[in-house]
Amino acid sequence: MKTIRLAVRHERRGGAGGANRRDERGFSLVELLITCVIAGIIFLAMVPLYVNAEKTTSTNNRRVIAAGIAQARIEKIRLLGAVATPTSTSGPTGYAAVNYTNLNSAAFDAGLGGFGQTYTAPGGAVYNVNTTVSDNTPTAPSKTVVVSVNRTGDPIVTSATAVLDNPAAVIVTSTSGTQGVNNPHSLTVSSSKQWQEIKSATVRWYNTATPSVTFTPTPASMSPNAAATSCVWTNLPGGTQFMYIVTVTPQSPSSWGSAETAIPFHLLSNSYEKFDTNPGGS
Amino acid sequence: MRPAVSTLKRLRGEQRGVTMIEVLITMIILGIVSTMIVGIWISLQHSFYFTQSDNTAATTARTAIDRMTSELRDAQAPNTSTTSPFCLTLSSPYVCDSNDITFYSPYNNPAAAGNTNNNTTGIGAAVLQSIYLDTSGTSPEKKLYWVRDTNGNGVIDSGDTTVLLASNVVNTSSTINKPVFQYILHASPNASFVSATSLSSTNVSQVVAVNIELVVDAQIHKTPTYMDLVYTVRPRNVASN
Repeated sequence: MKTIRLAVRHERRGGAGGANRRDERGFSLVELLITCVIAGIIFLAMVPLYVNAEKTTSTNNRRVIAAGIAQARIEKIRLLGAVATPTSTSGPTGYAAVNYTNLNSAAFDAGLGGFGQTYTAPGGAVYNVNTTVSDNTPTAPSKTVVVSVNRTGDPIVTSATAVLDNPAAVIVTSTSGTQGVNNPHSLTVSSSKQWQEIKSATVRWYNTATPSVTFTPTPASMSPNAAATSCVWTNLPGGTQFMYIVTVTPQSPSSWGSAETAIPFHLLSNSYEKFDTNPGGS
Repeated sequence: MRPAVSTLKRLRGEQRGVTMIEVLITMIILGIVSTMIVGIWISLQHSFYFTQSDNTAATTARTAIDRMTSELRDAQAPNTSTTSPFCLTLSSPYVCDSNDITFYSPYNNPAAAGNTNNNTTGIGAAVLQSIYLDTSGTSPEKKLYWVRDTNGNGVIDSGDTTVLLASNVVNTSSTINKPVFQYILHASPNASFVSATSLSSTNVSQVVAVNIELVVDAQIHKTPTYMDLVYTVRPRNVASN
């Protein structure tokens, strides 16, 4: 068989004569073809890598979408959590509706502009939403809510967690006279529970017009007192330039077995008379 | 030519040229190899642009959602005689419906002291602002804008600063058809939650939260790839019915 010599030929520098020429070797066609095949296999092996990179990007973005869905659902459940158990018996709403059965029912967030337990995104990806509820210990009547979301076909589950306080337990209301720096303004921290569950409550107010902070401790009469259900501050300055922050330090009652002190929470008013009723909310 | 060839022949002694077959085979092999390389190059480019536009869309959508939630979370009534943070007195697109939302918010507004509108002093001064989808044009991809009453005249006009929040928003496309904004209403402690796609004087006092959904097409002019983000935000200072 005749071998076709191609391309690169070496010539020894300074060499001369036919003897040296005999060493001269190029690549045979067979060698070149084998090289091509091997290179092809290697390149082909790399193609899935690029395809995979695209898939990874898509998958990651789909997980971002899943995280958004979980967080949105948590916010909706917080809405329920922010509403005290109603007196009506027409059906559970508000905090009373925060339980496993209700939150996983198809009807749950129909009124909240939601999509029940399955969400089909534009493009056809299907996301499954599952909510679990458990009693938070030791700070009952709080509930721990976990929303898990995963896309059909994706083993990774994205979840978001929230702890909901029963809004009936601690409520801040404010009453006031005419708006004005020298007019009296009063704040009331009240609880449907006995006051012994609240170790202390203090109020601070910021004067945003001429920056200053004033701190008022718990009124002496409100030192832990099992019979009381509210804590009242009177004669605070009223006016739109004031921001009020009420800090409440809960204390577990003796019925829970130990006198643990829970983490204080703050109720912030950055608008005249209106309070954030969702303490700890994001 | 001839003298040159003769010179070469003389210099290099007996020397064979390259046959036609060798040239053809060389060209074919080169062709195969270069086609392979170009193919890989093109697929690499495609992969890069896909990843890039997907990430850009994701980032844009996230940033827009972040901005909207930040503003809406701090929405508050502009003064003590107004009970709602939402503004219903302006004309389209500065209204509260499925594509637009108009409200007062003090977020990121430390220099509001110079604002001549309503609540004028302090860091809490609320500024009128609107987030609206520009639905003009026939293209299914729309732009989402955020405009604030930066000149403080109490209305939104050409003197105010407009910021582009997101491009390629396809919420209003006939194949998607999802509202950007939905309003969650709660009339009283005993009522059930209901949602509405627009606000009026009768339901504005019942708003407890706003659903936001933003669908961005990441692969314009190609097979659509959607980045779809949802969020529910509860303005801190709406009525807590």
